[in-house]
Order: sequence, then C-alpha cells, then structure tokens
Amino acid sequence: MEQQQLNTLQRAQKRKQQRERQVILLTQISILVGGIGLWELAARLAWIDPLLFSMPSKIALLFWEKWNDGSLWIHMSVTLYETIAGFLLGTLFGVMIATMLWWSPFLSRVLDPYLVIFNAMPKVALGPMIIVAFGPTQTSIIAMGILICVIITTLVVYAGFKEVDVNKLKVIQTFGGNKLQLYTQVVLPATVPIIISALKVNVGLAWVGVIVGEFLVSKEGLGYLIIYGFQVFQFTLVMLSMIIIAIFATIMYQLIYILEKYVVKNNK
Amino acid sequence: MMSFVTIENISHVYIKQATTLLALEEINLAIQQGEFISFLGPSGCGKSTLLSIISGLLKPTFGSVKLEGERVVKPSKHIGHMFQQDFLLPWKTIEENSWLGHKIMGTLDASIKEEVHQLLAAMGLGDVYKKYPHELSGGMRQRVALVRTIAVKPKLVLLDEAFSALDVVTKLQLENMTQHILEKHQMTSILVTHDFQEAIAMSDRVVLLHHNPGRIRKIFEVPIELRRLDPVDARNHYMFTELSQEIWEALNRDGTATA
Ligand SMILES: Nc1ncnc2c1ncn2[C@@H]1O[C@H](COP(=O)(O)OP(=O)(O)OP(=O)(O)O)[C@@H](O)[C@H]1O
Ligand SMILES: [Mg+2]
Repeated sequence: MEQQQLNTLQRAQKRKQQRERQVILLTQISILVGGIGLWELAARLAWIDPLLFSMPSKIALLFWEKWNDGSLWIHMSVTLYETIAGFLLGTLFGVMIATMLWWSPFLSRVLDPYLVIFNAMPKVALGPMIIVAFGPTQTSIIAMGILICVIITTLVVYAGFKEVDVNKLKVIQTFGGNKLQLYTQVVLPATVPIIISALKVNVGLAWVGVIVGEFLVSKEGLGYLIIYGFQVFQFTLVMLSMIIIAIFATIMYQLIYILEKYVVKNNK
Repeated sequence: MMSFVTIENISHVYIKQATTLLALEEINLAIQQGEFISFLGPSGCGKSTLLSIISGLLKPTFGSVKLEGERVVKPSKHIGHMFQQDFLLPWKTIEENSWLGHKIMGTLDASIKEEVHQLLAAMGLGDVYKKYPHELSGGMRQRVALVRTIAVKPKLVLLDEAFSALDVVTKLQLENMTQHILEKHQMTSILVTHDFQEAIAMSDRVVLLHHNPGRIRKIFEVPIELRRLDPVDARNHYMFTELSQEIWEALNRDGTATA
C-alpha cells in the first residue's frame, strides 16, 4: 500500500476514536447536568424532602457564602492536609513494614496471622482509643488515616514482593549481589506498579479515616462540618461537604493515575 | 596438575511434595583453564540444572563443584551465568541492563560504560542503548543478556543456549565474536546447546549427556585443527564433517537426537 493510503487510514482511525471519546464525554456531562437539574426540580416540587436532601441552588449559595467569609477554605485545607498526610504516610509505613517482612522470613511467618486478623478488624472502631492516646488533635486524625490504610498496604505490597520473578533475583545473585541489592535493583522496582495501585486504594481509605477522625475530634475540617450540619439539622452543609470531598478525592485519584501512566510505562 | 573446574560426583534430585525426580546422576568432569566445553543432550536431561549447580545457584544433592580448588557454595562474580531466558530487567534500559553486573559489583565507571557500548555495538545493538527490553526482539534480548554476562569478564562463563533464538547468519557471526572475546580474556566456558554443529565448531570438547537420569554418555575431543579455526571456518573443514557424523550417530543410537 502507498504511504498516502496508510496515512489516510490512520487519520480515519484517529477521527473515529476521537468521535467516540466525544460522545462518551458528552453523555457523561449530560448525566451530570441532568442529575443536578432533576435534583433541583424534585426538591422544589417537593417530590423529595428538601429539608433532608437540600437542593443544588441552596448548596451553591452556601458555598458562595462560606467561601467569601473564608471559613470553608480553612476546613477544606485542614482536611486535605490530613488526608494527604494520612495516605502518604500510611502507604510509606505499609511499604516499610512489607520490606521488613520480606527481609526476615521468620518475622513474616510469625506476624502473618496477626496481620490478617488486624486487617479484618474495623479499624475506625479504634478511633476513640487513638483520640485518648494522642488527644483530640490533628495528629490523632492523621493517625486514623494511616491506621486505616497501613495494614492492607502491607499485605498487598508484601504479596507483590513475594511474587517477584525469582529468576531476576538469580541474575543479581550471579553477580554476587547482596540482599540490599536484590531489594533495590529488583524487588522494589518490580513492585512499583503494585505500590501505585495501593496508593489508588489508599486515597479512598484515607478519606474515610480522616473524616471519621474529624467526627470524633470535632474541631475543624469537612468531617466536622458534616457532623455539625447533622447536629443543627442543616443538611445543605452536609451535602456541600460531601460534594467537596468527592471532588477532592477525584482530583487526587486522577493525579495518581497520571503518576501511574508515567512510572509504569516500562515496567512490564 | 589441578584442574580449573572440577565437577565431582554430582547427583541431583528434585523433591516435590508428591514426586522425586533424579535429574542428574554421578556427573564427573575436569575442565582446564581456557577450555571451551559444550554440553549436548536432549531436552530435559538436566543441562540447565547442571549449570545452576556449577554457578552455585543450586545446591546439588550429592557431590561438589570446585573452581580453582575452592568449593563453589554460592554464586560469585567469578562465575558468569547466562540463563536460557534473558531475564532482562524491564525497568532498565538496554545499556543499564548490560552493565548491571558492574553496577552490582561497584565497578561501574565511564570507561566500563564505553566498553559496554562497544560490546553492544559489536553485537549489532549499536542503536538501541536507550531502549527498553520490551521494545526489542527475542534474539536481540538474548544478545543483551550475553553482553551482560561477559561484560564483567568472569573467569568461568556458563552459557545456556546462548545462540538459540537467532537466525543462522547472526548466529554464526555471534559465535565468532563470542569466541574471540572469550579467548581474548582467557575465559573458561561451558555452553549448553541443542545444536551439535555449534558444539563442534566452538568447543574443545563436546560432552554428550544421557536422558533420564542425566548422565555423561560420551565425551568427544574436537581435533586441534578445528579448534584453531573460527566457528564459521571450522564448519567447512573435512574433519568437522567426520566428527559431526560421529556425534550424529551417537545421538541416533541413543534415540536422543535433538538437532
Ligand atoms: N525447579 C524444578 N523442580 C522440579 N523439577 C525440575 C526443576 N527444574 C527442572 N526440573 C526437571 O529436571 C529435569 C531437568 O531439567 P533441566 O531444565 O535441567 O533440563 P534441560 O536439559 O536444561 O532441558 P532443556 O534443553 O529443555 O532446557 C527435567 O525433567 C525438569 O522437568
Ligand atoms: Mg535448559
């Protein structure tokens, strides 16, 4: 075939893919806009209880108000900081514990049942204990974020460490490599994709931990706004906080997605 | 005189939960410094197992391997082992994979990098330094693995089917080149192959292995006239044809022809 023909084919293929993407995006936007419109309509016509479910226009108004008096920004930044700290530290500690387990097979065999039990426990139930231990502070809230994702990270990453192709380890060994070199040259890089998918899961988990922590500490943050909204029966505030959380969680997830694409490219 | 490598009474049993398999039985062989040995034998006769034992990766059930009189108990930088599959590290570029050994040993510097580049170029990989393994063909990857193994100039080189994934022309070129490099650095080598002509063309001795359990069946001395020649030229020598005939018959008599 002529080069020109090939180019034409390629262009046609590209156009087709582009059109498909546009249709999907358009549908997604329609669902969003339609959903918001329907919500507004249903609340105004009292199909649903506007007191309980609030309505988009009220939420937008409240957002504007709280944004202008600066209070929303404070709550948002506090929660965002706690969540990022919680999920980064939770993942980091998880990887560190997994490294220790990999390093010492004895330790891993001893700790195995405890990890499984601990993982199965509802960790948020430990919240009150943490508050008692660290006091009603931001440290407690971050600790909740860490607690909720550290064990699952440990389990997943350790499983990833163990799945590393033994033959690649043998290559390092034939050059007389030591255990640290096995870890840095093969085990850790081979597990990077798994660590990144753990990050993805942990974003969601850390939000849960931090919001519950803020419920308990009840000082500031979006979790505090939610619990406060419930107490004073102001569900618009609750809805607003939830929407902000959803937006932040999505942004963080997308950032990790970009990181993943960038890092995992050559890791097959 | 003490041999460079001594393989003494090696037997190996693979023990799995339900089954045991006698993979190797009483292998004895002495190899002189600078010698090139080929192991020839049917699939599954234990060639890769034997190489892993010699390189210290696998502890034999019985027997021992000695390198310069010292017992081999774990892998060492003096023994290079090229595996049957390339096992390149996918997150490293071709050049990084190639000088991995030096990196591990802490001997990587600018001159080594230059040397590795030259080796890669000689292997026809001059334009892929910065690529990643998944961008290369199987034969190219195999060559990278070969460079990775010989770049650290081990005293003893173990090559597990080093030239198997190549077309005939490339294969002959690489055989020549590899032999030159090995000779230049006076490396002792053991090559596992299914190709008895390759074995004859490259080796000083060809060791024919028996199937099930793996045992040494016969050792063929390659005539000095052939040893002096390049692998490519050796193939055109009348003595090559004679030895080929002899080995071919031995393989057939055993019912274990593999080539
Ligand atoms: N890790 C293992 N566990 C159990 N059995 C094994 C293991 N590795 C190899 N074997 C068995 O030992 C025998 C010898 O295997 P080996 O890989 O050494 O053969 P080979 O001569 O290299 O074969 P090929 O020419 O196909 O590469 C085979 O029967 C194989 O199934
Ligand atoms: Mg093999």
